Amino acid sequence: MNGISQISLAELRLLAPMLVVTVTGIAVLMLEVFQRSAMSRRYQAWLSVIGLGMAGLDTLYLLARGTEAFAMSQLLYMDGFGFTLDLVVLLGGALAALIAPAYLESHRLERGEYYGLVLFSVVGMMVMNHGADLFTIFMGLELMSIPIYCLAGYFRHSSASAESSMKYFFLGAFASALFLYGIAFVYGMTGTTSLVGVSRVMFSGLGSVDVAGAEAYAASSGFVEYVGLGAEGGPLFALEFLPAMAVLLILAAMAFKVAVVPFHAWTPDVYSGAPSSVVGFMATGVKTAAFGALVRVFMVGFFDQPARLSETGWLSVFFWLALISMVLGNVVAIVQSSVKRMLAYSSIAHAGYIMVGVVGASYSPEGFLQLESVLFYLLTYTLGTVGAFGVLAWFGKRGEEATTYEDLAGVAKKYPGAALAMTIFMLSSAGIPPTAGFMGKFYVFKAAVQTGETAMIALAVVGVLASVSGVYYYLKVIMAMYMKTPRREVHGVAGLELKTALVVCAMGTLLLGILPGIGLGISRAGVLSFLGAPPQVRVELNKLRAPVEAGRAELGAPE
Amino acid sequence: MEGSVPLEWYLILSAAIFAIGGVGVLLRRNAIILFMCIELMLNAVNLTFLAFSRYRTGALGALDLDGHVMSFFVIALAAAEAAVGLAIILSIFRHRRHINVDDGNLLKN
Amino acid sequence: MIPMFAMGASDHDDHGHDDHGHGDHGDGHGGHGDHGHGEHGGGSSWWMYLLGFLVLAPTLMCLFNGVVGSSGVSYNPATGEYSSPILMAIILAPAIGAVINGTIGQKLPRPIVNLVGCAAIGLAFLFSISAVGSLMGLEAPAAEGHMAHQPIVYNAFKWIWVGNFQIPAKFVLDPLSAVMILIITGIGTLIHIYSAGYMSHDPAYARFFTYLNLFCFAMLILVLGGNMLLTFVGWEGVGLCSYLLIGFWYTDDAKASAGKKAFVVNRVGDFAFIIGMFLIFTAAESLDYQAITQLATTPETAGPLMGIATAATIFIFIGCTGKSAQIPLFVWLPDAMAGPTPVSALIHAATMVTAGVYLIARMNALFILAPTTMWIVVVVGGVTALMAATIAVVQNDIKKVLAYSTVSQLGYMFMAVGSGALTAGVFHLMTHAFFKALLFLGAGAVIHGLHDEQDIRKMGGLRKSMPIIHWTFLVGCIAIAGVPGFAGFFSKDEILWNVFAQVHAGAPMPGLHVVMWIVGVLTAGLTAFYMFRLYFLTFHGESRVAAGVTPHDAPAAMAMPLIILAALSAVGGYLGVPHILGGLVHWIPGIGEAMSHHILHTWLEQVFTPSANALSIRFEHDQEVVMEWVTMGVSVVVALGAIAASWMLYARPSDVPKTVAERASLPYKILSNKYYVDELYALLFVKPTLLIGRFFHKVVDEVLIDLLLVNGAAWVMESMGAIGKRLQDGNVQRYAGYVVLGLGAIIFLLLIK
Repeated sequence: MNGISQISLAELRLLAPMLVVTVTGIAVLMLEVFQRSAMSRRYQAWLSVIGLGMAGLDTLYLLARGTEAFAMSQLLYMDGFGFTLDLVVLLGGALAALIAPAYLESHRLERGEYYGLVLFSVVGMMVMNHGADLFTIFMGLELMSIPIYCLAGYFRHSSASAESSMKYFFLGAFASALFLYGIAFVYGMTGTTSLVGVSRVMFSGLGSVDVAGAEAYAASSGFVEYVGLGAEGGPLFALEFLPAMAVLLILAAMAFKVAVVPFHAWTPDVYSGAPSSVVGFMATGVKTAAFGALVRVFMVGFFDQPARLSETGWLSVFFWLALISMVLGNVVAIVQSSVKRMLAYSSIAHAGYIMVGVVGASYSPEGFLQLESVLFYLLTYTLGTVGAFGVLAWFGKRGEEATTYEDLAGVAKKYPGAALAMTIFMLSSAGIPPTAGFMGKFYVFKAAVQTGETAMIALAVVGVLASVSGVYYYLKVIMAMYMKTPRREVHGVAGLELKTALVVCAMGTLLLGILPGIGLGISRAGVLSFLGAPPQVRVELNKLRAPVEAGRAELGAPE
Repeated sequence: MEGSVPLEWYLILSAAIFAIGGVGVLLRRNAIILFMCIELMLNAVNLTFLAFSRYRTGALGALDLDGHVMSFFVIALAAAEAAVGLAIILSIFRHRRHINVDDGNLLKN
Repeated sequence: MIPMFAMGASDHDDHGHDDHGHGDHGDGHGGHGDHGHGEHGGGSSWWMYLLGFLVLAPTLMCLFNGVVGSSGVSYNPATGEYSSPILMAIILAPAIGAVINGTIGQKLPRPIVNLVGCAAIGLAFLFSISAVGSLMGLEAPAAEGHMAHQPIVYNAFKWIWVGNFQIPAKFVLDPLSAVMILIITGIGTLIHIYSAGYMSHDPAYARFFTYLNLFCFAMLILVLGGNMLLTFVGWEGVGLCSYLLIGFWYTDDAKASAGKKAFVVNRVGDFAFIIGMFLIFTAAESLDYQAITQLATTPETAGPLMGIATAATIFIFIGCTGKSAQIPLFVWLPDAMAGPTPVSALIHAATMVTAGVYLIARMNALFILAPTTMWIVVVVGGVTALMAATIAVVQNDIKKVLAYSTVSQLGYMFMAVGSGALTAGVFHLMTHAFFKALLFLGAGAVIHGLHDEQDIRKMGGLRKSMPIIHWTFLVGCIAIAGVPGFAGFFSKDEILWNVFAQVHAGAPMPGLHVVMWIVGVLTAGLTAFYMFRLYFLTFHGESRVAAGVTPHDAPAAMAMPLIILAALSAVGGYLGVPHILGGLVHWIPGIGEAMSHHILHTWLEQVFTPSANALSIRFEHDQEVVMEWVTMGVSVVVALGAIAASWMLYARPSDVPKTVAERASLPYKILSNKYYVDELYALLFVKPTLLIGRFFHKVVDEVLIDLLLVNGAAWVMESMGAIGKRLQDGNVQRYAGYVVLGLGAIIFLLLIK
């Protein structure tokens, strides 16, 4: 945040997707002011989808053009990695907007703030995806989270919804405080919150400070002396401890948002209390943005060998988090009787799988490209999970939601389309070919195996075993829908919007399962254009980028 | 700078406040007090930011106002969270007629 | 719609049917347009869709060609390959037909369903002609003054892309696949049109056309696929369609289980195919045919392939025995006759069952590295041919006779490819497709005309009531019997000569080719015998038709394919005139020169060149001509003798067959029970499998797995889950506590230890 520079129009152009979404959000809120309460609000859903779609198209354009630039005084990286995550988030937001109208109408909740909150939250996620500075990431995180606290409690007449909102809020605010405290330590030690700046004054291992590097940076950036090691009066209190604390506090906040064990406890309660229409978005958008920010912070800011790889490096922390998340998420999901809670626990397991990809990719600079598996998984996860919650939103009326396995019993007879869609989503979540989920799991586990480390391979093996045990509860849903007789009448409320969303999710899930190359191609483009990557990673990326760019030149060249 | 309060003192104070806030979040039952504890934690962070900023400007002679700016952001954020948080607490009160966070929870297991 | 479409009704006479007798299946459009005038106005709307198809298809074709140029072939200088999206059009046309009929077909009126089904495959046929025409134009000089056809390649998309296991969805049109797609789409079109008549009484006609189109789609993938995995997709696809169509009338238990039998037996072969594929991938690191051929034919790179060649080719051949009904996996094909007769004609005679022959021809470069396998192929083919022919002699079901005849003829093809005579194998594949499709369709027409009677003992004398069927069927019998001048003569003779004369390194015993030649000649005699037995019993003698059944001739939609196929069966052989007979056709203006040099051989030469180099004829040139005349003479004499014998026995009332059956009751019993192969398999495989299965079910599954592993694991899981559940007590402060505890634990584990 040093130095004041002007914002150029070119920078503003790169922010166009975010601006479009913001303006759409404001427009929806303004329309709500002039809205007669009796009138249908379906158009607001479509307006949001159009806004998100336009932003998506522009993002796709920027991605295809290979945009790589800093924006807003180097607070944002406008690179392929961010744009790819944007695409996932925008997709999640658009699907959430499509799922909502019929659900909100049938539960008498129709008010326009819903779409405004979704849109603002999407903007927050996009800021996180592009964050180049711990503080930008933090602001994005809050911009994302606060609307979601409101959305969780959107079901005003429901005590459970209020409770879910309250729990999410308190724990989220608590995590925010931890995150801020971590940022404060980083700032104090390095004098900067910019990720690249932090990486220059790198920690060598969680326990100590790379004095030489820090001093060199301090000198080059105009500081007389490196700040950390007490300029006067000897070493600061517990300074040995500070860098480690900083990393851990930031790690805890990130882990809280992606919901890995033991920072996961809010997930089941919040997901089961919040309205079904929004849970899918909460589960996928937040996870996507949080994983994006996590990758960015740890890969750019804390990538240095000792901080990452030493016995006390963050990699081993992530390793164990991934492991226990996969195991605990799946095991506890098995004993759930509510489908919503089951999906919440399974989302913890999914966070574990994604973490496996992150761990595999950050093991060595050569493996960095494996981050594509993380992006791909997030895409498949978004399609499958938003779809699954969309199907849950299909059933229920006036505050009565279909949440348990019994509520879904025999649904297939009356609503074969919904049951088929749910089957596809469940198979995808379970990782059964030919669905997208299978390819997603395949790639993240491959990311771990390609390191060649025994521990990593063991991690992948645990992941495979855990996902096998997951098949049990996913199939239970399918079994309930097709083989059980309904205990009571099921009411389905679905509009064109919800059906559109489900068709998109189902087709996407199958398409990515059969032709994973499409999603993987975009993911790879995103990873290859990763700004702020440490030098040793950049060398590897350039090796891979060279043929791509040569190919691009060849395509563009006249015959 | 002879005789001024050293940086460590600020850091220890802010850590203490942060810890008090954190323990409050873990132990107090009343939602409003819980919320105030979180505010306490945020203010502890503010104090840390300001102390570092001041220290860098004073002791190191480099004009560094970043910490100040950040603390303003944190204050703005705290205000936003207060708005949302109090609304949520109000909604809890409507349903439960009390605001004890450990009492009457529907969502569990 | 259904009453209007009474084309199968018995009041049809056969006037005007000769209009269909166009010898040329390619461009006979003009004549059909005004054909309908002679028909009963309301009695047949079949010409409506035919007309629509004949008008619509060329229009679309012209549009297509206009848009993308001459079948869209473009040259890519970077890869040095010709490419054309028309390959995609060929494959997708039947797929689109299947999708339309499969989704909304039940709601569409019958003529539309027929039109969609026929137009889909008809378009594919027209596209195929266009593509093959382009292929003919892409000539480039190859070695030794020959001309080679640059294959047309189309890379549709990246299919599987994992590390070095990269499989593109790549389709290749080269002379071999050109022959195949013309057979598939050409005969396919005829059979689709025929089916419109044959299935006219069936309520599930939309489902039938869906499956039939789907089959063509899969079969086209099989032959156009540029790598083994794509071929395997088609391989499984045709297997699936075959299963669906055999069990088309699934309410009949026997028919449904015939479908299952076909599927299960084929799985055995498919499994071997997969293993073969893996073996090849381990050695060649590619499944691409061009790459494998390149590796196998370059001495420097053939090393790794040599190591696995024998094993891999044996596994692939086992796969072929499944799909192409050879010993030991032939048992499903006779049962497959449970399906509708057009299916038997298309799938179980003309196309799918020849996939094995195609695959060996396609992978000839690899097979030629494994002389042992080649000999196994010859022996298996020969024994199958003879065995099936002997069974056919005593069968009384018209379709069963043809089914065993198919098994036998497929055996011939394997004898050919096994002895290295790949052109002869493909040639016989083609002529067999003509005459066997004709015979099946004729049999179908007989069955249709007799209201589902299949037993030849209840036929006889039908030549008067079914003149068209009679004459076309006769042409088919003459062709398959190998009477000189007809298609079967040329291809069968070429096979026999090659088996007799061609030498391939590594023969296990010197006299084997002579033995196999004798087997072949015997089979040829038996073939002529049982085919004419079938012919005489069906069409000659006294009528034994059950009372109350009025036989009627084929309706127009069924007659037209019969006539076209009869014409093809008559003249199709001239694509492969042996060089000793070249002089006989040399005088024909225009094409005589090309014909005298075996057109098909010239056309396929480039595909088979690599393996042709490894073979030689074991005679001096002078001797060769003499020997070829001699072998030809022997087989002709045997065939004519067999026909004469069958005339004496079956054309007139005779007690001899009965006497023979009584005198030689043991051999007769063995034959009519098909050598007890089914019973043997039941004893050897099915029963032990059931026993093992029961053991595993009772002991391993119920006790070990269910009780100990599954329930045990479930119990462990559930108790762990219950603990996890307990932790989640709903108190938000405890959750915050977990965050703090988690952080503390990490700090403790990482920093304090």
